[in-house]
Formats: sequence, structure tokens, C-alpha cells
Amino acid sequence: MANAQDKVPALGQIVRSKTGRDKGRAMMVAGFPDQDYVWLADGVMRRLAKPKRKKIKHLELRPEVLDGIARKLREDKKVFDAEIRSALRNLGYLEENGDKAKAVPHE
Amino acid sequence: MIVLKNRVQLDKMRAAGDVAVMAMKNVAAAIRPGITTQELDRIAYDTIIKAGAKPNFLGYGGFPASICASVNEQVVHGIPGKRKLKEGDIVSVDLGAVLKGYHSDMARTFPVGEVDPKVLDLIRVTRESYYKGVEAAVAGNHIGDISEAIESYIQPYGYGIVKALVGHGIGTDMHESPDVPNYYIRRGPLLKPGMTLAIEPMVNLGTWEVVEGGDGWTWSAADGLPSSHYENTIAVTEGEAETLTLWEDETF
Repeated sequence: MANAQDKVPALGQIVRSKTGRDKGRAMMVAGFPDQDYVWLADGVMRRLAKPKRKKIKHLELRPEVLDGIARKLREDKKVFDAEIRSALRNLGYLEENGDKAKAVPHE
Repeated sequence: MIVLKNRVQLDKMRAAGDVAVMAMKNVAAAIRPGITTQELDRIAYDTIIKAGAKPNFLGYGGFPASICASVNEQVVHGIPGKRKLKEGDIVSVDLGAVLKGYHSDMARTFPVGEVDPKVLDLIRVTRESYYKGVEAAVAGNHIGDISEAIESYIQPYGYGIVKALVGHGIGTDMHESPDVPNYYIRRGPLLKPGMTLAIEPMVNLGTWEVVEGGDGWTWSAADGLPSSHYENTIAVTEGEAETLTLWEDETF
């Protein structure tokens, strides 16, 4: 009999912050620093070079998983913040985050 | 906490595994168009009781039967009932036994009569992915290696790997630590000899997304396409993992 999964996001999964100054923002899971924490990046406010460490229980899990980016992260390949931005834009999250109009700093 | 089992405890788990295999064999032999899932449940119950064990599903979290019978798009935890299996259906049977305090857990997906070759392929790939997972279940590896082996085997086929439900540790409880996901989340705990796990890929022909039904148990593929399940209880050893629910000369 299968076990119902505890709420653990997958690498590359989109999550939305439920608490803190980034409340409401959609970001991508970029790694797992610890049992109850994830690294989050959105390519705008949070770059892969300095991802946000956040408690899993402070997140709402979204159904989308950025498989291509997850694969690269797993294989230790270079991922650009622009890839995350473009993926979030395609899914409509970038606009939801209010980042569309904002000038995006250089890579 | 992950509990390692010693030789005596593993013997008990083997014995519980043998009972589950007996029940599964009897259920498999009875599957044909026209039989109800309730009748299959009865066969499993009788076999397990006759062997001096108890069906560990019965009453688990309030589950009302000894087997889960999940038909076609149902992924897992289908409640047996008056539904008659018909030609072209597939049915996933999940069952286990508890004997002298130790649990076993296994699942197979059976075709009913002639089944669409596309669906038979799904059943075959699910089984093969399980074996890929077991190959990775060696001491020194991590749980994540099992997950990755299963996921990377299924991915080229384009099937949906169920994420909401996962395999699990097993022993004096049916569900123990650690979780064994069928897709890579993280490296996870180190595998050590004496760890006992239920490895169980659940694979959908279409989307990986699943929905829980109104009965509080049955999980189904969100797009209504068929779903397949394969599970054994295994023990991690120094070498190749040992199957504790060993069905020799299995034809499924």
C-alpha cells in the first residue's frame, strides 16, 4: 500500500511563498540545503548565485515542474537565471510576480 | 527513524512475504472477465487467514478491505466492491500480510483477457522500472539512487510518474521511514544492510497528476488514462537486494 507523499517539492518544482517579504511570489526549487528547507530562485529577486533558503512548510506547492532546468541542476550543468525567468514567464508566473515591467539586471 | 533488521527479524519478514505471495498467486489465478473485485478481496483474505497471518490492509487507517483493487485509470487504494472486471480492463492488486508482528506489502497489475498492447507495454515498463530501482538498492547508495533509477528508466517512454504517492520503509509497521519516491527529489538517506523497503513505481499512460476520489481512498489518473503499479518488499544487503515477497516463476 503506497504512502501518501509528505509535502516535499521536487527539484525544479514551482512553489509560491506563503510567508515573509517574498509572500505570494512564485519561485523554483533549486536545491535542498536541509531536511525541512529548500533553496529557491526566480532569476529576478533571487538569483541562482544567492538563492533564498526557505522552510518547506512556508510554501504552497504548484503543479508545474521545470524538468529541463532540474535535469541540468542534477547534472551540475550551468543554469542561467534567464532560463528560470523565461520558464516562469511562459507559465505566467513572472507577470503574477509583477516582474514583467521591471528592468532586469545584467547577467 | 530507520530501523535496521537483524537476521531473525528478516526471517519473519520473509515469512510474512511468503503469505502475501500466496495470496497474490490465488488472486491472479482468479482474475477473469466477470469476477468482482470483492470476490478477489475474499480470496486474498481467506488465503492470508488460512496461513495464520492477518491482512495488514484491513482496518489500516480505516481501509475497509484486505486488498486494494484499482481498475484502469485508478492508480492505487481502490476499494473492492461489486464492480465486475471486463475484457480489456487492467486491475492493480495491492496486498500484504502481518505475521508475528512483521509486515509484507506487494502489488501487481494484471490484464483482464485481451488488453490493448499499449497498456500491456505500460505494465511491462512499470515492472522493468521496479527492477531498475532494485538494482540501485545496494548498501552504500542512497534512497535517491533508487528514485533516479526508476525515473530515468521511465522517462524515455513519456509516461507519467506518480509523485503524490511513494514507496516506504516497512517492518513492524506497514509504513516506516524512509519514503522511497519514484522520482528524484534529493539524495536522501544512506542505504545500509538490514533496511527493508517497499519499492513501488506507479506509472500512468498519460499525465503524472493524480486526484483523490470521493471515497477518501481511491487515487486516479487526472486524465482518466490507465495506470500501472508494481511492488515488492525488499531487504538491502551487502550485495544484491533480497526480495522478501519473492514470487518464483512469475508470469506477470
